[in-house]
Amino acid sequence: MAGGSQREADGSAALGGFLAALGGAAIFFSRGIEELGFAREGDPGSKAFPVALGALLAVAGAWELARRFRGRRDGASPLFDSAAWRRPGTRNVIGLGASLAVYVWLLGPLGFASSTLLFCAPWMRRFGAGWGRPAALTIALVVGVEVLFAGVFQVRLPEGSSILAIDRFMVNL
Amino acid sequence: MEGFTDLLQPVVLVPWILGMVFGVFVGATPGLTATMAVALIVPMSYRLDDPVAGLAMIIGVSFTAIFAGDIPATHLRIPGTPASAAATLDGHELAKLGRADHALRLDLICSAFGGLVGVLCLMLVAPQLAKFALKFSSQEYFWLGVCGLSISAAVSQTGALRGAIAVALGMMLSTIGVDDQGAVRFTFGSLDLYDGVQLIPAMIGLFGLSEVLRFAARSDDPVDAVGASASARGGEAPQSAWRSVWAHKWTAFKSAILGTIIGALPGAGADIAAWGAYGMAQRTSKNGKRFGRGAEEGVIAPTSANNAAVGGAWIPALVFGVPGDAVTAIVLGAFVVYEIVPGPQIFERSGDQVTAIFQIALVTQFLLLAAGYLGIKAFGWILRLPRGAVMAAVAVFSVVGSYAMRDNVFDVWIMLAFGILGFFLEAKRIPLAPLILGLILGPMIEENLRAGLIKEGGSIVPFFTRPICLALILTLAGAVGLKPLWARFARSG
Repeated sequence: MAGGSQREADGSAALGGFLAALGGAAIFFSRGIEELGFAREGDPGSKAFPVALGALLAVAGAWELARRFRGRRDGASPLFDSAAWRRPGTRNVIGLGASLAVYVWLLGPLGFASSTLLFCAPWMRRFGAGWGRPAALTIALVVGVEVLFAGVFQVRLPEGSSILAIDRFMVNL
Repeated sequence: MEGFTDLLQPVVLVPWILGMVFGVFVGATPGLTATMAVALIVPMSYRLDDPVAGLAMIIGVSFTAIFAGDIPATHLRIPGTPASAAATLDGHELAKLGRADHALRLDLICSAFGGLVGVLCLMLVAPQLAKFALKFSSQEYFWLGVCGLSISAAVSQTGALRGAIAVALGMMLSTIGVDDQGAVRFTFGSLDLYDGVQLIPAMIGLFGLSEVLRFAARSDDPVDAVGASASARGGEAPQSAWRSVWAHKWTAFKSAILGTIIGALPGAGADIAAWGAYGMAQRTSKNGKRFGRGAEEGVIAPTSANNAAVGGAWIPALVFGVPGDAVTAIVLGAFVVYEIVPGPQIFERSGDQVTAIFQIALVTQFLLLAAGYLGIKAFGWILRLPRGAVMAAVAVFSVVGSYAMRDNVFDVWIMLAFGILGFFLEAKRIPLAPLILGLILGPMIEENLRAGLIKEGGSIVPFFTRPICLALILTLAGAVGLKPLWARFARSG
């Protein structure tokens, strides 16, 4: 815990890198912003604000990185904590983030119901116990959302291109 | 009077009450915030045929979730929302004495009372302020936006610098899309980005999905119960809570007024209001030494203030388009979709809708008594829900909610990106509320800066010499200078 606090006081390499990269990217890509020729006297133009903010973020990032390196020089803590990647919590976050991305991607081909079942049941299993209750809760969740959004609020939930293709195939048969 | 009868039609009343029950559920679940509750309800509200029903849902949730956050704060010492943190101290001490239900009844009555005071102040002050705001020009609006962002950064719990970084990030993200002069910025060829970052998916990601990721990060122990050690329930008669509130009526009133004022400061919010009222009550009470050890005033003061702040925060939001906190920012975004455009002319342009908003907010305080009582009783049931299932449901609602806004999967990707961004930033102690305010107020600041400069032929001088600008600059200096006072409020807790 003390190490964590020390690291926070020293700044964060990840945050510093992120801010510096974002700021740098904002300045770089601002070059491509076209001024449409409506510029009137006194108008700083469409590039000014993004460039100023990009510079601000880049400076903040550089400052955060400098604090981090200074902390490292003082021997407070390693620059990158490789043990963090092996912690179950970190693995959970990466796994959940990746499966969420797959879930969203699957919404197109598989539709809402199938992709939600594929996403939810394993995660409920991971954070719960056994398969029975997670499976029942997932089905209840899918049915609940279908009733609420599709039934009551008339939202057209993604039906899934593959599911529709199978439907068409079955009808043609 | 006719307006009130319209509100009691089933087509309005049913979604309104369902929304409030949803607010109770989300607010009372530790880890889920009032902001998340409002962000998740907004996409559903758009789908209702009657816009008044949609507004009722959103307003109902915003008040209910703040109260409901006090339920786990009292039983488990886990504030359901940041605004509940101050109520945790004495509420939980009362719960340990076996008086949890009494503490929560005090809390509920004071939340409804505080909400009522906040809304009445809103109804009285906002129209007058709107008349005054007609004198505002680009320069004044520029400074209003700057005031909102500066105060929100200054009062950040993780420090002003980190708050400022969040503001800059939010403003940077707000530049994506086509600007008011027609220039295309940072869209990388995507037509979906021409309208900029969609606010509601971004907020659902920042406040909903990021919480799911935080839960995953904490879950080293795979079986994570919400809480099994709920304190014993007290057997006091409900009337005793009314008597206690009556005995401390001036504490409740002063706290509600203070809460409204702090809530109305752009960038402050219900959490600061609650701490402010707690500190004031502690200093002015004869029982100041009992605070922190189960004093009834220690529950009455913060809970009156935090709900009053919701009404207070709507004053600058409706009149100037400057939200006081993240919850109000989402509500404001929702109002715009209902074609209620904030600004000094709001009472002329959208008079009927604003009247409906005021009426809904007033009636919500009375409905809160019923919904809150249900929440107090249902808390045991919420505790028994597997946390993993609740979080999976939040993830699915986040996906469906962001999709439902425009029936567009691209918005779901935006939500996912903001969820990951929110998780990363919070892990690095960058607060999310100033980021949202930056995202909302960024375009207002840029457009008014440019318009002000064009009007004056590039001269920056009028930004500093116009009388209202000067007053705003002094207010800003005063508010930022008061930062040590906020810190003192927090320390006194």
